[in-house]
Amino acid sequence: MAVRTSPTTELAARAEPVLRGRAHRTLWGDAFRQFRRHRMAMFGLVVFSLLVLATLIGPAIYPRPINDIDLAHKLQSPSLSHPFGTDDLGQDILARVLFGGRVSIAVGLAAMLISVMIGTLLGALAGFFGGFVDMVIMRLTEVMLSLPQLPLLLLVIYLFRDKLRHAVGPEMGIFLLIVVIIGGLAWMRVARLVRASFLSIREQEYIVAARSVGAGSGRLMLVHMLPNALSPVIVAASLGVASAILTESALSFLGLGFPPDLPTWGRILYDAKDRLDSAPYWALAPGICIFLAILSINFIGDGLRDALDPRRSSQ
Amino acid sequence: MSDWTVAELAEQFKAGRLSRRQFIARMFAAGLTLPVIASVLAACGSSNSGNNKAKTNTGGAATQPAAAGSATAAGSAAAGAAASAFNPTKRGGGGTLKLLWWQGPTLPNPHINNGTKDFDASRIFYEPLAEFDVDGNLVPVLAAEIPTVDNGGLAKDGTSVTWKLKPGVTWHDGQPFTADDVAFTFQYVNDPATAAGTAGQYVTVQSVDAVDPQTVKVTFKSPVPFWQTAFVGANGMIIPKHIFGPYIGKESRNAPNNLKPLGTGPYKYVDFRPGDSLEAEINPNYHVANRPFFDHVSLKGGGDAPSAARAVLQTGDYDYAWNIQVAYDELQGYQKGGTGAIVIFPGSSAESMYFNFTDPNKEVGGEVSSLQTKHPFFTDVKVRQAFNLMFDRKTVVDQLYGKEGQIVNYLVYNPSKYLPATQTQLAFDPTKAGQMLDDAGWKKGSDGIRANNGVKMKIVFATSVNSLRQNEQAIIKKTLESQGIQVELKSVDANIFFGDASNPDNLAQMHFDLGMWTNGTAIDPQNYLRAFVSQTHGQANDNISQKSNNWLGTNVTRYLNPAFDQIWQQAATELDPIKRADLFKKMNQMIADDAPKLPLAGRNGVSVAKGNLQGMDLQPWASSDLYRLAYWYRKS
Amino acid sequence: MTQFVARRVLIAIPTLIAISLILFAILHFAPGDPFGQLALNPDIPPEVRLNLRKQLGIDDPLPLQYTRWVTQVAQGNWGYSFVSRVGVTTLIRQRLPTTLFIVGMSYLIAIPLAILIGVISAVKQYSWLDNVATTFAFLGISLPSFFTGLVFILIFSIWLRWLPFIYSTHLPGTGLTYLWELFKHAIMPIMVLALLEMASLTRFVRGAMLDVIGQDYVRTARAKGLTELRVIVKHAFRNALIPLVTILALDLPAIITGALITEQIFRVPGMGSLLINSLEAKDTPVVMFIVFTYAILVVIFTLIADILYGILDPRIKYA
Repeated sequence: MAVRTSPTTELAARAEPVLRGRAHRTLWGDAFRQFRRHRMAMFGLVVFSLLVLATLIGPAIYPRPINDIDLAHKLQSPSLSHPFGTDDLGQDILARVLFGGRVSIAVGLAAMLISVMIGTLLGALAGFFGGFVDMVIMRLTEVMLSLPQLPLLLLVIYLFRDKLRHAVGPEMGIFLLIVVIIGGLAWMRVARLVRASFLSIREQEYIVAARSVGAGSGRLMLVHMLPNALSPVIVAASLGVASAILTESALSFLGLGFPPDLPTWGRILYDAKDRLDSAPYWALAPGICIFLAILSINFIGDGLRDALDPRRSSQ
Repeated sequence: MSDWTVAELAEQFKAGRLSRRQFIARMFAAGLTLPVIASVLAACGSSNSGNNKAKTNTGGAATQPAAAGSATAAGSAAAGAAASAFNPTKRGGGGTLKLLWWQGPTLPNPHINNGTKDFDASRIFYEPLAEFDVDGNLVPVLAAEIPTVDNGGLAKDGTSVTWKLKPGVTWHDGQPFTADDVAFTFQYVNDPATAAGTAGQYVTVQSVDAVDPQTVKVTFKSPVPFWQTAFVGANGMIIPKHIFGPYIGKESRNAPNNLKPLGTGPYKYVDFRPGDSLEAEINPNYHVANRPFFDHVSLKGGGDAPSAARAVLQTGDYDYAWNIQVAYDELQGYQKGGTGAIVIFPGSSAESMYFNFTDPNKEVGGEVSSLQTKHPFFTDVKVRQAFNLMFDRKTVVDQLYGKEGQIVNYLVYNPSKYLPATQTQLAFDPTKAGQMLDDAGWKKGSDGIRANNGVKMKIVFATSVNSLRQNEQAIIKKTLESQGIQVELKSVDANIFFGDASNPDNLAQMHFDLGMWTNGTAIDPQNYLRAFVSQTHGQANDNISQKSNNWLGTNVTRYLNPAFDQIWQQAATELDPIKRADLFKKMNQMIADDAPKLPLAGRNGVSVAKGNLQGMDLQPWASSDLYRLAYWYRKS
Repeated sequence: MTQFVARRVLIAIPTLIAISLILFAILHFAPGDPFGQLALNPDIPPEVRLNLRKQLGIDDPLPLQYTRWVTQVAQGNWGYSFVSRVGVTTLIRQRLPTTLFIVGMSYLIAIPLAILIGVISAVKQYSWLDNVATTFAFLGISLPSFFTGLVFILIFSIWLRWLPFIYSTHLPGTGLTYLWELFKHAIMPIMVLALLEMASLTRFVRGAMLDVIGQDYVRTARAKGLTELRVIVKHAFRNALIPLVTILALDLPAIITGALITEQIFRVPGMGSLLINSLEAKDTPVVMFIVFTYAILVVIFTLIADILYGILDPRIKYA
């Protein structure tokens, strides 16, 4: 973000180091200390790390195949041999949840990052520059918001699936496509939130002051304005992870997602829904996992927000 | 009329599976004369009066009454009043019947509509001249009798059929129903600009003429072996000339009554909201005495099958729900403690496995699975037969379908008269399959995957999105992988898989090696068996689904077998029902031996009903689940 | 201000034309078939299917179809549904009131409650109340509506037998009986939607409040000795409204598309189930009406939001 547009006037040259030094200290040094003091954030970090760890090394510690069909033991409630029970094909739910978590967490985080990055960038530009830039970006946002998702998804997947499949293989291809699609269709919310915050922030005294001393636009946006606009972004981001995980399953039950035998949290939840009364444990495992993942991401986000908020850090 | 062979009939009669009355009726139907029948009866040396064949039993508390009565004996109009265990002395009094269709009807016009749900909605209001019963015999509805050679209705040379209409029938607006309406219905359907979905059933018809108000003559372009397509069953519902007259051809879609059905049926239109609900009230002038029983019919559409089943079985909010494709054990779970019944009835369709004879990994002239390519291994019959040994039909049926399915050995298993005399049994033997693949040159490589000449045995196995199908895929994949075949599963949204053929993911384009979906035969298997024919008329291979015909050819496996084509063409013109049945048996066996497509499981019809709802007489040849709606009743 | 609105309305016209063209193109190229159900029937010859498509002009080139559509719509005629041959507006008239009622009620319940809970959560951050609210919000967010809907059905319809779970268009009775029946049919879909909306809205309100509570002017207000309630309502909340307005402006246009999944689950004959069925059947005239109206609402609500920003924070100038 080195959009240094300001002329290097003497004044600006003098102001620069001061600003940089301050930003450095509050943003990273203080932020880290602040974050560590944030009880809920640390709790979220621990839970989320455990979840990621479980999905990464879990299958090695609990080496039961995810597709071990055993119809003699289908729909069994949790027991020693099947800690989370079995599904309607007698497959071990714990093994499937552990494996499925990799895909779900990866999709959730990647799609969220894409949407937050696009949304923040466009929202910041629109809110900061206003005028023509704002006009163009906001009309683009309106167009994107108006597009009906279902036919668009079908169209995009049919256009690009086979090409990507040949280029990077079936699973990686689908992963990229899903992440780009989900992220690419979810950034508008973030953009509008960031723009709204920027509209308000850019008129505040300290920004006006910083501008008058000729601070660069990029620096202004990144260092001074963004931390103040972060709160809605973080909420939108944690909601975005949830919706990406659930959208992925919606895609796969439209036949657009991963191959049908690849379990993901959303898919397991969907498969389990009609047996909710007779086999509640089936839905419970993926449901709790999604819940914990999103809750912990949110707490981490809360902590980050508190840590990065310049006003709060000075408290 | 029907093509039961005399020998088979006699066999069944002797075994007590047919009553004397049914037996005679069928002999008549087959066009035999009384003296011949008498001699056959004498030969059987018995006056067997076996019970009516009971229907396949239900899964739950409801027991179906005996099947609808047999077809008419010579000239007896009484057969129209099919057997019913309930014989009320007055019309109505049954209150409201609440039906639940998880796909809501969108257009209740019987000839321009969008599939089963709309045929069902239409059948509440409209009626055909006749319907098939469970045994494949015609039962009159708006006809006074079933035309036979003997009553002069059916021309001996097979070029025409003359229907006598039931007298005293009126449309819902009081106008009389006459032969003109029947003739009009033909004109309406036959006009290409009408774009009637039912037109395919009338292509053999040259003209339909009203001889007098109660008689209508159907003349065929050439002698047809199976004439029971026009004005029969789902495709045969008669529409009133005085209502639809101005809306023929291009105007067909603008008729106000497309959405306000007006027919001769047991119920009259009250209200219709496309995709949501349909309300109907009793027709006080219905042409069958003391019917129907229910005063109102209310059909609600939308949602999904599992919750529809719950609304009938668990809460009892609805009386009847249709087409319940839900795992059987799940349904049983819903049923527990309730008073509802799972109603299972025989079907004629099979969940089937389709082998691609062309190569889905090569593109020729912008076309994948082009006829100019050959599949690396599925063109070898030994490989197909080896695969056949790896489909665990017993597990699929026992564990997934339960009573909703059955193991079948042939694609055409119902009507059973087309099964060969000695039948091949399909086996499950992966080890033997492995040996067969070894023998065919496909040996396991160091990576455990079979290969031959550098080509690996990798397949893409596709079906539509459906939780039951995904479970079938998982079971089959496991066996195939145990024998060194690499399987990639693919599932496609049903609307796309079964819909527009120009979509690359449509089944007709076969962008996969192995496919799985269900289809089944009508009572006459000629059209169904076309799926294995390469050339029907005109150019070579015109029936093969390919780019040049927009993938509309019905032969999707790209199977080429001139010998099969020849027999199929023969059956299309064979007037002798016995010889024709033999041809069908021969084709059935050829497909079983050559294995371009194999049955995985025969599928039964599944509905759920309140325990006290009776008289539905569900069966595979009916126009709709509602074909006997006038006879439905609630047991007190 | 008037000038600003006028300029925006002027710009909206080309925007909407562009949107309509993009929408039409997507629908044209997206896979689907109004006659999918007929395809599997071996008794229907291909000619019949081709005939049907010809009659509706489905296979005509895109520019021709689009021009036809624009000409019709310019004359106020939205065309006929491919599937049921009812005029699109007739179909909408049957569906829209139900959706307005169900989705509207859910907003009426969700918005005030979310604001209340969100504000309290922020003011009493990390109190037990905040923690309970957070937990519930995230339960609502992590469970898809097909799941919450099913849980509701199991509890209230199947175990307790209190409520019907199939929404009926033809309710019995009049007056109070009718209202009671309507309540029983509508309460579950309304609650499912309200919970869903509440869950995310609460988070945004809470976040926005936390932001402003720490700001100088709020502290100044407190220091001036104003009561806590007055500080929160008058000073903090007003400034926290900006993200809330943004979110609501994004969510409210959805009232025209209805609730796709919830309507399916409870068989509510609203716009959502119409849209999903029409999309599946590629019923372009119906889909175009719904998505294009949605686009118009998106444009209108964006404008409303921009105007509101200026009112809430007078420093924001109309650009």
